[in-house]
Amino acid sequence: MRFVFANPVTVTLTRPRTPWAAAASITVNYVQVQSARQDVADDPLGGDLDGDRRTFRLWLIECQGLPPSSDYEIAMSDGSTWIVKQMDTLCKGREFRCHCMARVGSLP
Amino acid sequence: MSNRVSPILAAVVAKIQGLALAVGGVVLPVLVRKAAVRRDRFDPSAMITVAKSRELEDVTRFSFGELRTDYVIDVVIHSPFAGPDDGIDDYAAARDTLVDAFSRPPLVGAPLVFDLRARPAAWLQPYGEKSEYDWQAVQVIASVVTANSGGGP
Repeated sequence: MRFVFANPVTVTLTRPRTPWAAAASITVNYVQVQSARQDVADDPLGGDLDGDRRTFRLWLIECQGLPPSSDYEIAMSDGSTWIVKQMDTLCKGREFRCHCMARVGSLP
Repeated sequence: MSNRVSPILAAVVAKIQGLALAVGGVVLPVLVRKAAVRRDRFDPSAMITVAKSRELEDVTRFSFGELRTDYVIDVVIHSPFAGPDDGIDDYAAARDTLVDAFSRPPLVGAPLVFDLRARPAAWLQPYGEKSEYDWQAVQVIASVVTANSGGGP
């Protein structure tokens, strides 16, 4: 199934470092990327903070033992870094839909 | 014509620039804004915005001849969210430094200001984990007394 999507991309999935574990990264192939959406991320004291949102679909079999989770990072070849904020598990655990927000300042 | 807010905002900016507040070793630029707005692809990743607050100024008639106005100024420190395990030293230092700096007059550059107070506002928002921003705020309350001219010269 993952071979039939148009324009799959390859990304780097990273589990961030924590006080009790080192960071870990893997390369994930056949990732389907949805279009980005620019949105208001927050409103400090009535102001606006911009945020870009994007959805990635990753296959478990491509994740090599590091399935995505909240706060994991997805780095694209254009240099942008996306942080997983919410995740849907699809296809009985075989696929993940990651709702992400761009790291501030990482967009080209 | 009266414009008391613009000189106050400029004076607050100048005072904060003099403090050279930094996050991660980088001194933050200080910008006057209509509101605490940060635009992607336009603005620095980390910065301080100074804006007149949405909270309305309090106008009191002191006597028949004078008006006292308390302006609320929002000072917001924006910086990228770098995870929940980050040290908070820079954030805490910036916050307490601002409170110390704006807790008593004078406010150089705004001679009308006879009283100055700092009111801590939002601390690092837990929304950082949802919005990718660390932001916190301090509100400065600048009080001025002006002649109650009734709008005349």
